[in-house]
Amino acid sequence: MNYRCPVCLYDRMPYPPRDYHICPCCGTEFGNDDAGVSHEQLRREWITSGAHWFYGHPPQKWNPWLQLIRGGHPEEVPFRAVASKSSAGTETTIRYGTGIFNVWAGV
Amino acid sequence: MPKLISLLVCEKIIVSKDETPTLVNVVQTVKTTLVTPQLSEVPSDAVAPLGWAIFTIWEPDESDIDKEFHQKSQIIMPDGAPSSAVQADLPFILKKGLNFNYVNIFGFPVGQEGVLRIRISLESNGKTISEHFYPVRVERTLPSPSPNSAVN
Repeated sequence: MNYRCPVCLYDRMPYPPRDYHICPCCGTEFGNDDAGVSHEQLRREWITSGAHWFYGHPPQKWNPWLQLIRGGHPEEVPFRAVASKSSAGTETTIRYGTGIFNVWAGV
Repeated sequence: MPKLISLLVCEKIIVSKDETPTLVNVVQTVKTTLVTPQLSEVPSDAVAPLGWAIFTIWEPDESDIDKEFHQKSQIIMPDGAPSSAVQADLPFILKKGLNFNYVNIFGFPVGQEGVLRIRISLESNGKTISEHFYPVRVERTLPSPSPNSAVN
């Protein structure tokens, strides 16, 4: 059975986040690090320190930002993106049957 | 072989009750802003919380009808490496006429400035039979100054 870390939202913790178990992703030791500090505050500290993997090598394709997004906290991702159009387009309007634009073939 | 009639990337696809799609905000550029002052730069693996969509139209040959294909989506980062953050596999069976496919994705990789390419490949029986690309420019912008940061 896997458990989700309430700090970094890593969802493959092999043990529940209590009883001094340590999250391999963010390194939080539950019952110690979170004594008197909220999980939200620990999460912000993990993010502002770079959201690095804590123990050994991270799983293949692991991405801390996707982990936050998929874990239901996209607002915690420290960057925003907006899509925009960067160059001017060309617009043409052809109105058939109104006399504004007529094409005569074979004349 | 199915022919790609259209490939567009947009922010949202609205599909009406009669299944007519409407594309909202066709994407050319994605502008990224760092919102945490404690981080000095956008990390190379950064994925921003942005919803976006891939819209394709396929036209089958007579021999393609009722056969299964896979439309695979992948992002090629500006340095040429594929992004592991976004990968999608859409199996579909081609019907007569135009076939519309929608892929909705949440999260856009913004870790590198420059032009990334969204690669769409069509597979049949495990073999890639065509591939197509849509470019998106990723730019960095400075965060807007907050009202509290104004100089007196």
